[in-house]
Amino acid sequence: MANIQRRDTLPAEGSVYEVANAQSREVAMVLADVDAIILFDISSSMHGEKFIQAGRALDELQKKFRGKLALIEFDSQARWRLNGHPSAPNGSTNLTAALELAKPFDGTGIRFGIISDGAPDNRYSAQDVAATFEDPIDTIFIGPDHDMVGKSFLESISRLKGGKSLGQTEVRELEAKMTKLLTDGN
Amino acid sequence: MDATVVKVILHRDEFLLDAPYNKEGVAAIKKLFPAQERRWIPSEKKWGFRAKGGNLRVLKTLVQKHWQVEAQVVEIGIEESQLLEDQVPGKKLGTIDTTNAYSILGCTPRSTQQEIKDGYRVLVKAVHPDIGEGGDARLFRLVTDAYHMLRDERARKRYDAALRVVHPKAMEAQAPEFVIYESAKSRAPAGTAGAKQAAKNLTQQDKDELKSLFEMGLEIKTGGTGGPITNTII
Repeated sequence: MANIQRRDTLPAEGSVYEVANAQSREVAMVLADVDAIILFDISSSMHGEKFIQAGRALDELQKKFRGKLALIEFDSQARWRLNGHPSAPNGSTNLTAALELAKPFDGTGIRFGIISDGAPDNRYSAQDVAATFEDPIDTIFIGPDHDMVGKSFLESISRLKGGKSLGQTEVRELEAKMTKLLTDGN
Repeated sequence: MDATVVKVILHRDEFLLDAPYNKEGVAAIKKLFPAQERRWIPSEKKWGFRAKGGNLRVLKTLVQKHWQVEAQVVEIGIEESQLLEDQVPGKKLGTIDTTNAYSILGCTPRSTQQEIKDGYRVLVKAVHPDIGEGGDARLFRLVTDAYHMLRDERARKRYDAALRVVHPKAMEAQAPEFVIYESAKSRAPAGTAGAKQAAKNLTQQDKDELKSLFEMGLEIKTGGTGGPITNTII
């Protein structure tokens, strides 16, 4: 119980909030200094073991890339999670809202990474917003093998501006694959 | 009866006139210094003037004429000036507003790159650890970090985006309170229409000053690019 409370109330190690606090820096300055923004799908289909494993992977990534990753979560809406902890899965997959939230950082040399397990609510609007990005968007598909629609959609988003697409990724490999994406450069 | 003493105190970017009340002297101050070059500090009962050579010369002449004494020009150290600032409500040069990178440099999200650079140059000299007394390594780091965040357009765009996430209202921030020389000119939009608008914005005090300056044969330009005038004197 104590651990659950701790996780809920304290920012994740290496998250924007934690780093700002540890270094007595302004949160906006730390956020402006990140190398990548991760758009993380927390729709209801992520419920269960997949979400737990993905959450662990995010924890490890934030520790590894201390102060260099910022998190946006999206279900039916999108929100910044500067404490590094995604909310419990719920609702639909509004990727459009997440892209719009990240858009102000576009054109500044930052990396964008979408982690999702399926196609969004509205593929067309998500694609329209993604097409306005100057910087490449990388995608990681963590959905089931048979979901060709979700997989090909994420690939099409990456292709728009020359981002990388990791199709069919097991959640347990998420940390390693994200690390590779983040350290490989463009 | 004590002899009259009039001091002109150089206080960072400003000359403070420490003198007993003199009706003709005040009238002359209002006549000779445009509104953007001077301010009245009620808590100190002193006039403040933008620190530049021309203003000092005018001040010395004015003191000689109306107070009939030689002005003593003194410079006060940073510690003393900080005490002085603490007594002047709304003036924060000594107590840097650390809310965000813009406020640290005394700027706003609408400030130009030049204004940001000027803000940095003023502050970095004041807080540099090598200056001895008054130097502050923590403030120096804050000021340099803020400047590095804002010095180029790309980094600034990213910081603006981050500021919108963390403090959405900060992006609507007005000029910091220590931007003290704002005048009708700074409130005006650009161009002829701006000049007309500026004329509408003039207060009665502005109009009186303009009238007196025109009587002196001085030319006043209105209009301008808008936005606050920040401290560009180093």
